[in-house]
This record gives sequence, C-alpha cells and structure tokens, in this order.
Amino acid sequence: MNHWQVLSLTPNADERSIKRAYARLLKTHRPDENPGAFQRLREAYEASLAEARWRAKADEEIVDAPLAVCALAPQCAPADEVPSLAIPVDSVDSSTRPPEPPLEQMQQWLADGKDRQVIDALRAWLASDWLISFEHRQRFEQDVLAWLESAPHWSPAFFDGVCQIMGWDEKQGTLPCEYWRWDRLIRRCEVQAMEATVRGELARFDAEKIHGQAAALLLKPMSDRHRRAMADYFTSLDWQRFSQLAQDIEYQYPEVPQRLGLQPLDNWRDWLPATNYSGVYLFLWLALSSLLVVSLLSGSSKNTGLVTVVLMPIFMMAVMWVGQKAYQVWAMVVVRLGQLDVLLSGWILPRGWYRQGAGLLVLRHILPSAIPAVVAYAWSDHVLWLQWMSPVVVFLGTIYFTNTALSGGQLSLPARALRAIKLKVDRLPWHVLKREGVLVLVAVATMAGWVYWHMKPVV
Amino acid sequence: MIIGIDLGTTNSLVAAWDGEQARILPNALGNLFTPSVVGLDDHGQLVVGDIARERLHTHPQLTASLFKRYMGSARETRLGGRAYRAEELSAMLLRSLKADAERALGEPVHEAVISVPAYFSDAQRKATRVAGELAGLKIEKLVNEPTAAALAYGLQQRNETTFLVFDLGGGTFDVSIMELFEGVMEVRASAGDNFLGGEDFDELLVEHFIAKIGAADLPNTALPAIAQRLRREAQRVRHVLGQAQTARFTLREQPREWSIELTQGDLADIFRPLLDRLRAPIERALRDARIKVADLDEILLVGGTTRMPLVRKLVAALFGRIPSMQLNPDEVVAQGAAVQAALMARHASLEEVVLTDVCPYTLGIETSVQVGAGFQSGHYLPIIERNTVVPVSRSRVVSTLTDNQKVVSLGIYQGENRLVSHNIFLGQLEIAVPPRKAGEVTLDVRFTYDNNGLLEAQVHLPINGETRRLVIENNPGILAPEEIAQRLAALEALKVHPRDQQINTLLLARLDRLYQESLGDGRQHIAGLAFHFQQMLDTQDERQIREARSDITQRLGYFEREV
Repeated sequence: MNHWQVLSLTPNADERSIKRAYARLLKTHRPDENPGAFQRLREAYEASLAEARWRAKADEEIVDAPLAVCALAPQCAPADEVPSLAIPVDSVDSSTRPPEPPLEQMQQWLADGKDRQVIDALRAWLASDWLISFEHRQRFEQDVLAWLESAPHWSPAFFDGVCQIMGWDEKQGTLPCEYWRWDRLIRRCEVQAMEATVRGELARFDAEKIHGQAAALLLKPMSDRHRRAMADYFTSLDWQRFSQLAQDIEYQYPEVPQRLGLQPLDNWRDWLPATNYSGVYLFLWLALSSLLVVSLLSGSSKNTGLVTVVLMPIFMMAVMWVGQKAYQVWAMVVVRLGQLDVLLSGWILPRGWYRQGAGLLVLRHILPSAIPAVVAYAWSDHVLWLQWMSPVVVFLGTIYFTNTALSGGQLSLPARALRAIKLKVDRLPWHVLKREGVLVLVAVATMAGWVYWHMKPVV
Repeated sequence: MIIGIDLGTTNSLVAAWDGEQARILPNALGNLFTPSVVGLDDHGQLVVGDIARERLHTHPQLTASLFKRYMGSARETRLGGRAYRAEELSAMLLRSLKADAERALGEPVHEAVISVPAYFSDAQRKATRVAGELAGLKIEKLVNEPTAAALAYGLQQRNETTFLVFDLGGGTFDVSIMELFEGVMEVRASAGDNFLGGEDFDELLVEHFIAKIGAADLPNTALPAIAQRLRREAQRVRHVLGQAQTARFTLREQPREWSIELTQGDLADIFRPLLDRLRAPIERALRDARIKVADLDEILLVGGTTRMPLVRKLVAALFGRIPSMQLNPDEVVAQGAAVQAALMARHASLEEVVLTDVCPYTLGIETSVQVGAGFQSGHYLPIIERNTVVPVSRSRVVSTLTDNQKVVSLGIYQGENRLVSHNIFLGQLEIAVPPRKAGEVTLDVRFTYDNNGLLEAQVHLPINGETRRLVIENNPGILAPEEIAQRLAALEALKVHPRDQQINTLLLARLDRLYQESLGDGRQHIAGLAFHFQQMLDTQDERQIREARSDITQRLGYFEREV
C-alpha cells in the first residue's frame, strides 16, 4: 500500500485535498489511541505533502521560466520599499531604516571582491536595529546567501568570516538554507582552497626548485628527462605528498587542474617508486637455483644427490645477496646517467615498457637483467637445450617482474595470490573453535573415537 | 473528572472543562493562582501557596520555592528535619491543588493532565509523573505548555491559521509553531530554554542592586531571609515598572535602609543579556517548521513574564507586528490543560478536535566511528530527529565493534551536538550478545517516543531473534519504583494544615512578614494590628474575626502601597 493509497487519494492530489484527507482519517486514527496506525498515516501524509509541494514548485518553475531572467535582477534592488511591505502596524517603531551601506553597494563590493568592505558592512547591518525583526533578518540572510552563490570570486577565508558574523554554523545546525545549497557553497570553498594550495605549491617551485616538487611533478608540463631526473631525487615524504595530491585531485577535485589550465599526469601511479622487488628476487632465486640443481644432477658428476638439492639453493641465496648489493651500486651510478637513460629508452623500448620514463629503462633495468641471463647460460653449458632456453626465460622473467614491481599500485601475481589465500583463511569460522561448547564436543568425539578404536580387536 | 493542572515555577493553577469551556478553579482562599511554594508550619504541618509564600521571608528554613527548576535532578532541599526532592515538593503542591479542585467541583478527583515546558527532558517529564503519583493523582497525560496554550487559543479559531506561541513563564521559555486546519491542531516545531524565565530577570535585578550599592555596604545577601526579601522586592519593582516609568528598589534591615531608583530604560539595559537569549530558540523553531515569519498569522503571548512591556516590545520588534493578548497569559496554559483533559475523556463537545505534538529535541545513541585503523567513540547517532511528530517509533541498525564481543552497551542521549559529550545523558543499556566476529552481530535499536514525551528503547537481535524492551534507568534524576513507594508513605504521614483556617493563617503570616520588613513607626503599627487580630482569633467568634480580617487586610493594603 503506497502513501497515496493510505490517504485514499490519487497521486495528483493537491496540498489542500491531502490535508483534508489527513484530517478526516486522523479522527479515526487518533495519536493517543492507535499510535501504530497514526504513524503510518503521518508518514503517508508527509510523503504525499512533500510530493505535492515538489510538483507544485516544478509547475511553477515551468510557468515562470521565461521570467526567470527578470526575476533575478530586482532581488535586492527595492531596499527602500522593504519597510512598507514588512510592517503594517503603526505602533511598531517605524523609525528604524535599513542601515548604511545600501544592499546594492554591498552586492557590488562582493562581486568586486572587496572583502574588507563587505565584512564591515555586514557587521554594521547586524548591529543595527533594523535586523532585530526576524522577517528582515531572514530576508537579509537570503540576500547574502544569493550574493555568495552568484559572486564568482571569494576566498574560503572570506566565507568563513561571513559565516562567523552571520552565525551560520553547521555543527550547531544553524544553516540559512537547505543542506544541498549549503553543501554547494562548502564544496566551492574546498575547491578554491585546493586550487590555492596547488597554485601556491607551483609558485614555490618556480621560485626555488626545492619546494613544491610534488605538485610540479604531477602538474607541470615538462619533458620525460626532467621528470625522471626530479623523481629520482624524491624522498619518501615527497612521494607521500605526491600520491596524496594525485589522489585528492583524481577523486575529489577533478576540476581543479582544469581551472588552473593544467593537465595532471594520467599515469601518476606508475611514477610511484616500487614498493619492493621481492617478486624479482624470488623469481631469480627459484629460476637460478632450479637451473643449478638440474644442471648439476644431469651433468657429469652424478654422485652429489640430495646434498646438491639442499645446498645449492642456500648457496644461491648468497649469490643473490651479492647480486642485490651489486645492483644497488649500479643503481646509484645509473641515476647519475638518468638523462641519457631516458633518452635511450625512449628510442629503443616499446611504449608499454617505457611509459614516459616511469617504466623500464635500458641502462637501469634492461642491462642488469642481462647479467642473470649470462649466469644462466654459463651454468647450463653441458645441457644443450637448457643452455639456449634458460637465458631467454631468465631474461624475460626478470624484465616481467621488474615491470610489475615498477607499476605502482598494481599488485604482482604472487602478492595477489597471497592476499587471496589470507582472505580465504580469515573467512573460516575460527571463532567457533574458541567457544567452549565446541571444544567439549570435539573432546567427546575424540574420546568416543579412541574407545571405538581400542574396542575393535575385542569384537 | 480529569482536571488540568498548570504546575508553574512561580504559580500553579487548576482548571476543569465544564462542557463548554475551560474554567479555572479557585483555591481555598478564593484565588485563582496558588503560588508554587510549600513549607512546614510551626507544628510540622504542611502549608502550601500564599501562606507558604509569606513564610518564605519569616521562616526560610521551613519553606521551599522554585523547585520546578530542579525537577529531574537528584538535588534535595531541606525542610525542617528532612530533605525532599523536587518531586516530593511538587507532590505537596499537587496534593493541595487536588484538594482545592475537589472542593470547587464537589466531587473526588483522581486523574489529571499536567502541563510541562515543551523543552523538558525525559528525566524532567518522568519526575513530573512521579510527583503526580506521589500526590495520589493518575497522570493521564503530560501536555507541553505552549501546546496547551495553543489548544485553548485554537478552540476559539474557526478558520485555518498558523501561529507562534511565545511562552515565557517564571522559569522556562518555550516557543511552538502551530498550524490549525480542518479541526487538526498540529505542532510544527518546538524549541526552548529550560533556564530562562521571570525568576532570572529578578535575579539579574537583584545582582544589579547589589552591584550598585556595593556588597560590602549591605548585610550578607546570601542569607536566605535577605535573599528572599531582595527577590520579592525585585519582583515588585519589575511589576511596578510594567506601568510606571520609574520605581524604587528598596531593602530595609534594622536599622538601615538602602534604595536605588530605576527607570524603564535602566531595566532594558539590565535585562539585555536575557532578552538576547530569547532569539535563538525562536529562530530554530522557525527554521525547523520551514515557515517564513510573514506566513505567521498571529503571535500568541503566554506566561506571566510576557506582561513585561520590555518583552512585548521585543516581540513586536522581532516579528514586526503587535502580538496577541486575547487570552489571559497567566491562565491560558491551565485552560489548555483542561481542554486536553476533556480531549482525553473524549468529551462530546470536543469530538472534532485532534492534536498532534512533536518531540522537541533529537534522541539518539552513542556510536563509534572508524578513524584510520581504530575506532573513536563518543559520536552521536540520532534515531528520532527533533520536531518529529509523536507518537513515533524509529529504528537504526548498529553492529558490534570487536571480535567476540559479549556485551553491547548503548548510551542514550538527548541533544543536537554530534558529540555525545555535549548532549544530555539519559541512560545506559547493556545487552548480552552472542560472540561473533566484529560487525556480524547487528542490533536493531528502536526508540518509541509516546504522546506524553516519554521514551522507550527496544533492542532486537536478528541473530537469535531475541527482543528486549529496556526502560531507561541508572539516571540519578529518576526515582526507582521502590523509592517512590517509600517516599509516598513518608508524604502521606505529613499532616496538612487545616483548610478552613487558611485565610486566618495567611493573614498572620503576612503580618509576620511585614513586621520583619518594616522599621520604626510602621513596625509598631503592624505589631498593634497583629496583637489585635490574635485577640480576635482567641474570642473564636466567627463574625468578629471576619470583621477584623477585612479591616486589617484593608489597612495592610494601604500600608504596603504607602511604603
């Protein structure tokens, strides 16, 4: 039964007939006698009323549409006529006049961004006797609100000041308008605050290159070489700022770069430093140690057996450790050659690997990947098919895992598998085990099993 | 017969529906008002009303006033040898009001409708109920004061109208916006301030007097006797300034006299802080009712304090129009309570009237909000939003926070802040839940707010189908049932001062007070009158006593005007 049926009305009923139907039904569903029925009736009444009012308003807007332009203009113009409208009673002190400055002047100031004057004027108005009347106060509030909505430039600090003076406070629920309107203003403040932050950061970067690098990396148009060079010297704090900013812009303020006439990096996640290279090392260790084991077992000396299978992987770990250190030294060297590296990679590598300098680089990643391939070739020299296949597998595998590690945000295959397993394990009903009743049941079952087992021979 | 009682901070009234209209019932002294003052006389008997009010000055240790302000709190007042809670003091007053009503109606009365400020909290409402119970009255309903006033006013209206009730009483301030259509009286919104009323104006005036004279020069103003005298003088000055342009604020104490001159203008400056506080509740009510000031057809003034020209001027300035004074602002609440009583009894003449009221404040529970990895407690989750039409029943679903949680404790609060620490704590409920993983156990928390403004919380556990109704306890402001029974017995043991002698006792009490207050020749004069009256009483000749009484009353009236 929908709310119209509760009131036994058709869905196009107007406010008047809704009220009449409600009043009629109320006589039989009195609040003190039948609270349940009353609440249903009340909810139906409120829903119907809201719908009817909304419809009436929508109709009105359609009718008024051609007039809308003229309706906006005189919103606050006839300030002098206000008193005659509001107070028909002679005994109420009619000597009060709207204070100075006039409303149009204030609106003009607001539109021109003369914050100081506007704030002073608002203070003067609120201190005046004119606004003691609720009606004047309400109208004044609506005017100020409308100006704020229509004025193109004002700062969040100014808005904050206005709220304080007018006594608008979201926490205390003293808002001058519906929530969605208020939300729009707040949103505007937030966007502007963000815009100001970004602009400030970029300005600082322009002034002295040390500051505001995170914003610059994300938003400043520059060549791949420069970007790479900058990113290479980022600290973890810089990266944190960078990813925070990028996320904020992507999810909350997508309009901010546009307003500033900038284009943010669309692949900013790739730029984030790889969280770890464990995938690469794991792969190399597995591949190389199995290669070693296989080549030793299938080689000439077949007497080593089990010892080889255990010892070789351990030996491999030591090798890996040395390799890792060696790579770190190489990385330090190659960062100095970053510019050249980017240039080379841009020519040689496919786009999917290169990713504007954020992905694989020739000197930094490709060249070192050749080393394990060479090692693999060397270790498998007495098995012909291995000798040709293993370097290729090792080389391509290393590049693959390096690439995944580099594309920040994306999880590598093993990490994803681990996470899935952990999730599944967590889902198991572990808490059941902790319940005493279940424990007792298990104990009883075990005992029963034990007794059964021992009685079997007797039977 | 159900009677309507306006249990005020300063004055209380009883009214009953006589089939056509609500009539105020006079008390044993023939007055329509009974001052909300109770006390014990020299023989340990209960005195109420005017006599107790006179004795406030002469026997401050044995009398209590303004106890409505402490309703719903654990505060106790000492009278003689025992401490009484506000409920008990109210019960003494209600007992006397009940006896007066029975006398005026000529039939026993067992049921009543009592009016309470709209902004009274759950604990305060429960305390009022208990007071009725202690007085031997079945409280059929608690009606909000502005709603009652609107009911009395609305009955005289024939067409559709929307109006605002501005109720400034002795101790509380309420605003309600009412809409009237097709015999339905609907409260659109209510707001208020429980600690703003005529008594606060008096207090400010006393403070002003002390500051002006200088505390060092005055006798100890914290003494109950002096404080009472100052308060009464402040009230008098406030009433005088209702008509006159100037008035003198005087304190007499052997052998000196202090006095200051006050004008209407001074009063406006002194009262500014209180007058400013009237604004916010009105704004909130207008906002919640989504009504423009221009749409209000009428502003209805209710409560004795609205007789002050300052308040009326302010209201006129606020709304840009002259407020309505069609009904007596002191009596309209009691009349409305009587109308409500008749509605409860389904009186045939009121068959077509239905009243709907709202819950004036938001009710909710304490919840925790996830912040990063941890949880932050103390957040407010509203269940019934303020100004929802009652009776209403709403529910919200909450869930457990930690793994294997065994108990969920729900803090119930009333207020508008998003942090519970700024809201009023109503009670705590604890429910055992089956241990599961965090968030797996959900609780359906249902609040039911009934027509009397009393809250009932109910928790349903869908996981095992268990439902538990929970009455809010553990609130120091609410008496437990066994305690009520105990206090009832103690109160019943208290003897009431004989009703037929009240008028003579009152005169004696008044003479005592005036003797203490006056100096020199005046004092001698009063002493002579008191001696004369005591002599007449001793003759036990009803005719002589009556003559002496009227003579002395006249002289005293003259004396008080002169001084």
